[in-house]
Amino acid sequence: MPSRFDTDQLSRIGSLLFASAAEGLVVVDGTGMICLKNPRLDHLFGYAAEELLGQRIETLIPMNRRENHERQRQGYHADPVQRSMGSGLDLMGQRKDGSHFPVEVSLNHFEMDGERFVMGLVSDVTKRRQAERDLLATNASLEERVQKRTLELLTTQEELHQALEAEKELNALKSRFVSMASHEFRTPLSTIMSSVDLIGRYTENSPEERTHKHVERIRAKVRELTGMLNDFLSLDKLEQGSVSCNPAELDVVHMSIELIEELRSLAKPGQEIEYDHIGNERIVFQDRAMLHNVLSNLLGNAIKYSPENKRIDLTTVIDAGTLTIQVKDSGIGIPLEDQQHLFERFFRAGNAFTVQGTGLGLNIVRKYLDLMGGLITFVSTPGEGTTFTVTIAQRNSA
Amino acid sequence: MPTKQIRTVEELIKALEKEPGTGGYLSILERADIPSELFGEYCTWHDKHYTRNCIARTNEFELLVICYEPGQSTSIHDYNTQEAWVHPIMGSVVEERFEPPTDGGLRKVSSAKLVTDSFSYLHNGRSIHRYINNTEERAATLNLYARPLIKWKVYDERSGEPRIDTPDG
Repeated sequence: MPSRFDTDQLSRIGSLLFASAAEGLVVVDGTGMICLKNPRLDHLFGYAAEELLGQRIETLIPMNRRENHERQRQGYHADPVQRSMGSGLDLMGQRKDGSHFPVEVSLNHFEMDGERFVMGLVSDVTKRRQAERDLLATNASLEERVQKRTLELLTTQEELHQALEAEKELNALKSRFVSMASHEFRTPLSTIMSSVDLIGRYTENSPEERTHKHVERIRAKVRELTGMLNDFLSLDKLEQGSVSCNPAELDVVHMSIELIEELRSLAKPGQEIEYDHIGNERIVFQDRAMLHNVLSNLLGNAIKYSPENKRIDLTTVIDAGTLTIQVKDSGIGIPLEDQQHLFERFFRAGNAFTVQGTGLGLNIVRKYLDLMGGLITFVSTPGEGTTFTVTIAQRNSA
Repeated sequence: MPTKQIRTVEELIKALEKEPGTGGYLSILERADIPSELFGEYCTWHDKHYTRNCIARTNEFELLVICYEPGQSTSIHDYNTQEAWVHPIMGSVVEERFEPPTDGGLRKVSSAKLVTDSFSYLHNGRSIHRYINNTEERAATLNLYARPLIKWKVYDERSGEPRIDTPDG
C-alpha cells in the first residue's frame, strides 16, 4: 500500500518527530562534528539552541574518556553497524557545566550525497542507574540481613543443640540417680520390713499394745516409701521407653479379688470394698503387671481419698470384646480446676496435699494404658466422690 | 462314711464336671482322698499375702487352692455365691463367722478350727467370714464355689469401733 504522505509531508513529519522526541538525537559527520541535534539533546547537556552545532561530539564526553571515544568513533565510522553503544559499560555524558551523568546511546548510520553520517540516540539513565544502585543496595542489605539471620539461626541451633545435649545428659543423670537411689533405698527398706514382720510375729500375742501399734505404723510407712520408690522406678522405665506390653491370658475376677485382698490392709476403719463382675467371660489377654498396676493405683487412690465408713465399688465388665473397669469412691473428689491436670506427673489436687502421695500414680496409669491401647476417664464431684472408668480391649492385639 | 473313690485332682475335676447328683458337691468332696502333694503344682506362696490358685472352673463351679503362710489371713468378706465349701488339705485354719453389719458394726458369731477332715459350708446370705492361719506351719484349703465367684465384698473388722491414733500412742 503506497504511503498517503507525499515527500514534502514526510519531510515535515520527520522534522516534527526529530524536534519533539523524548530522547536526545544527534547526527555527526565523518570528522565527529555535530551536524544536527534535537532540542532534547540541548536540554540533556545544558546547551543553548545553536551552541552544539559544529562542535565535536567529544564535547559531550567527559574529558578522561574523549581520547578513547575518538578512536572508537573512527573505528565505527569505518565499519558502521547498528548497535547499542556501551551496552554493559558505564557510559557517561558531560554537561556544559562540566557535571557528568550516565547515558545510554544507540548508534546507527546513513549516507547522504556520498557522505557517511552517524546518528546517535541518547538517553539520560540517571534515574534508572539510581534505581539499579538502590536495588543493588537493597539486595546487598537484604543479603546481609539474611546472612546475619542465618548466622543467628545457626548460633541458636547450636545453642539449642547444646542445651538439648545438656538436658539429655541431665535427664540421663537424673534417671540413673532415681534408678540407683530407688534400688538402693528398697534394699534396706526390705530388710526393715522383714525385721518388723519378725518383731510383729514375736509380739503378736504380747499384751504390749503400744509395741504392736508402732510395729504397724512402721509397716505402713515402709509400705508408703516402697510404693513411692516403685512409682519412681516405673516412671523412669516408662520415660526411657524400656517398657513393653507382654499380653497373657489372665482371669480378671481373680486378679481383682487378689488385689482387694492385698490392699485391704490400707483401708480405713469402716471402709468396705465391694467387687462385682458382669459378663459371662472373665478371661482377658493383657499385660498382667500393667493391668495390676492400673487397678492397684485406682483402688489404692479410692481407699486413700475416701473417709472412714465409706464404701468403695470395683466393677469389671467384659462385653463385646471390651473390658471395662470402674472404681467408684465416695471420697473428697477432685476440684474442677484441677481435673484437667490430673494425669500430669507430680500433680497433686488442691485438696489432696494433706494426703501422702507423689502425684505419679495416675500419670503412670495413663502411660501403661497408652501402651495397652486403653483409655481412662473420670467423673468427679468435689465432696461427693469420684468414679474412674478404664476401657481396654479384652484381647490385646499388640 | 462315703467310700473314698477319688484319688487324684483330675478325678475330682471329672466328678465335679458331672451333675452333682442328689448328694450334691459335698458328697463328691467327701469321696475325695487326694494326697496333699498332688495339689503341689497348684500351690503358690507369697510372703506378704495369701494366694488364690485356680484348679478348674466351669459355668457351674470353681475349684481353688488357697495357700496361707503362717500368720496370713483373708479379709472379712462374703461373696454372694450360691454355695461354697472349704476343706483344708494342708495344716489347719481358723474360720471366723460374722453377723451382717448393723449400726453396731460387725459381730463375730463363731470361731472354729478347720483341720484336714473338716468341711465348712457357706451359703448365700449369711456368709461373712474370714480364714486365719494362726499356726507356725503353712496351710492350704480346697475351696469349691458353686457357681464361680463374681462378687466379693470386704468388710472392715474395725467397723463401728472408734479408733484413736496418737503419734506416741
